[in-house]
Amino acid sequence: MPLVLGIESTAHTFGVGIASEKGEILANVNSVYRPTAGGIKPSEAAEHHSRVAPEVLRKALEASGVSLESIDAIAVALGPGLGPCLRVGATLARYLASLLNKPLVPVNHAVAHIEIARLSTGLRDPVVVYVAGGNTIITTFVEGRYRVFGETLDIALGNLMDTFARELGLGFPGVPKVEELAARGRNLVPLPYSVKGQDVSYSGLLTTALRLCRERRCSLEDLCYSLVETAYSMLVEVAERALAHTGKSEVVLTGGVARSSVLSDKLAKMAKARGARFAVVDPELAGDNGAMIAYTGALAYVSGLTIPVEESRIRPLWRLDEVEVPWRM
Amino acid sequence: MADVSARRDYLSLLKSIAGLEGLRIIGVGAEAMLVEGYLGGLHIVAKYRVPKIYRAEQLDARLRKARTALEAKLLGRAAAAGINVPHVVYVDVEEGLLVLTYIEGERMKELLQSGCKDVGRLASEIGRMVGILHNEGIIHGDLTTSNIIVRGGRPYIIDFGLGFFSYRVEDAGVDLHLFKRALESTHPGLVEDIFSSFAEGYRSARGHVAEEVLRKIEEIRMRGRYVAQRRRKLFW
Repeated sequence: MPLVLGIESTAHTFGVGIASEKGEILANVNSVYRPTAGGIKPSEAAEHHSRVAPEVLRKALEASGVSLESIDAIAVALGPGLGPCLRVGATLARYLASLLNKPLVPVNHAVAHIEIARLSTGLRDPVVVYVAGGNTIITTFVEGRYRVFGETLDIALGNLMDTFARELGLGFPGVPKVEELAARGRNLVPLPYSVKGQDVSYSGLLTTALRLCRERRCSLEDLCYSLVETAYSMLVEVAERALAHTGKSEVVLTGGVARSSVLSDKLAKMAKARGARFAVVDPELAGDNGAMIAYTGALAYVSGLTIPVEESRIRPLWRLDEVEVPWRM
Repeated sequence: MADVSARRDYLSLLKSIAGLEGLRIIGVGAEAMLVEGYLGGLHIVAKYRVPKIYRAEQLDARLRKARTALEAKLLGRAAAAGINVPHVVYVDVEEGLLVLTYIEGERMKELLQSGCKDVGRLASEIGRMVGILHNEGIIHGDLTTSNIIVRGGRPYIIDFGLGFFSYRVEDAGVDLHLFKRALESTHPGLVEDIFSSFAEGYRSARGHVAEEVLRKIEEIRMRGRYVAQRRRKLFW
């Protein structure tokens, strides 16, 4: 049974996981960079990653109880992500692969979120709702690849919530803070509901919500309630379109925002009304983590997807639908 | 599919609202249910925007109402401009119900797939119709060969569910871009033939503005979701 060590460093999380292609996860150790003020600063995040890398790697090996030598391949998330952060993970991966003379496996971060969700929920061929700080994508497998059926035209859902929460001084991550206030809201304030065909747009929603807040036109609770209702309903609507269009019968929620029970409740209701099964990724595996890179790397490795070190350049703009997915053929 | 009982309730609701008869569900989309039937002997199709239980009631009511009213307005304005579209027979914005005349005929999609000889003339006529719609500030939003019905050799444009009013060149360009993309995915071998005749009809309706819109198509394609440049700020 091949064992793969996976390294995640696309954004604020530095993680190392160890997994097999059968889905056994032997280790999943992660360290998250927290900005002291404002949003994520790529150079500071990269500094954090460099600092914690040795410790995270050591802990992961300890937790798994296997030695570096018994690992069969090194997987790394080469993108999409922030250049300075990606370079830290890529450098460590190249070093380990060269040192141990093991194959290097490139992993697309978005594909990893999808595969770990399929593993964790047991759903075989779902419409995937992938929502995180930097991504909002509705995708499903069609003819060899994960095709993008809908996505945000501007900012991601997590980005919307994080920025809103930060501007209001609610702290990070934004989703739980905003949802907590939203639970006490009663009145729906009209906000821009922007669904364009299969896609959503969140930037106008953020601008309007912040303006209403500055002008104190409504209570903070009502504003949060309206923001959550509007933003999530838009997403569920496009997920329903993808479900209707593709005729699939399963829906899965993955990514950092998958921990939101408000969002998963809405998706569950939609799926039920359409007679589809719905499940959410394990909360431990929802946010960025090393295990998902290791597991997806293992799937890729057994399909023969490895690259020489010289070709392991980072791919900050690596699109989900450019990636071949031979293990699902 | 689940909730068959719920659907039967919709049918009885439809019946009570508009006095419709002989109802038969012909499609369940993401947003609306399409029901075929008769209203005083007139062959109709009812488009019912189903309430979504995942949305807050207030929000759901607002959206269904606004979308139903908008679609009715678009169809009314298109008909007034002399374009072949279904006629609005009955509207109930509170219930999200739109009753339209049923266009009997063959979908352009099947017509093309079965090897239609009249492609050039039809495509040119469709181009002219879309040009007139754009002159009137009507953007269809979902131009595909599934949304064009041919009856007695004349094309009819249906389903304005994603439509809106705009005079912007950008919006007209996106409308044409989506049409071209739909041709590419559904009729790959016919794209050039169909689109050149379409463009000719479009020019005949719009004059010099047409060139500006047609030029936009390429620009829009370049920033489309399958082009890396546009993604710069989105992926972390």
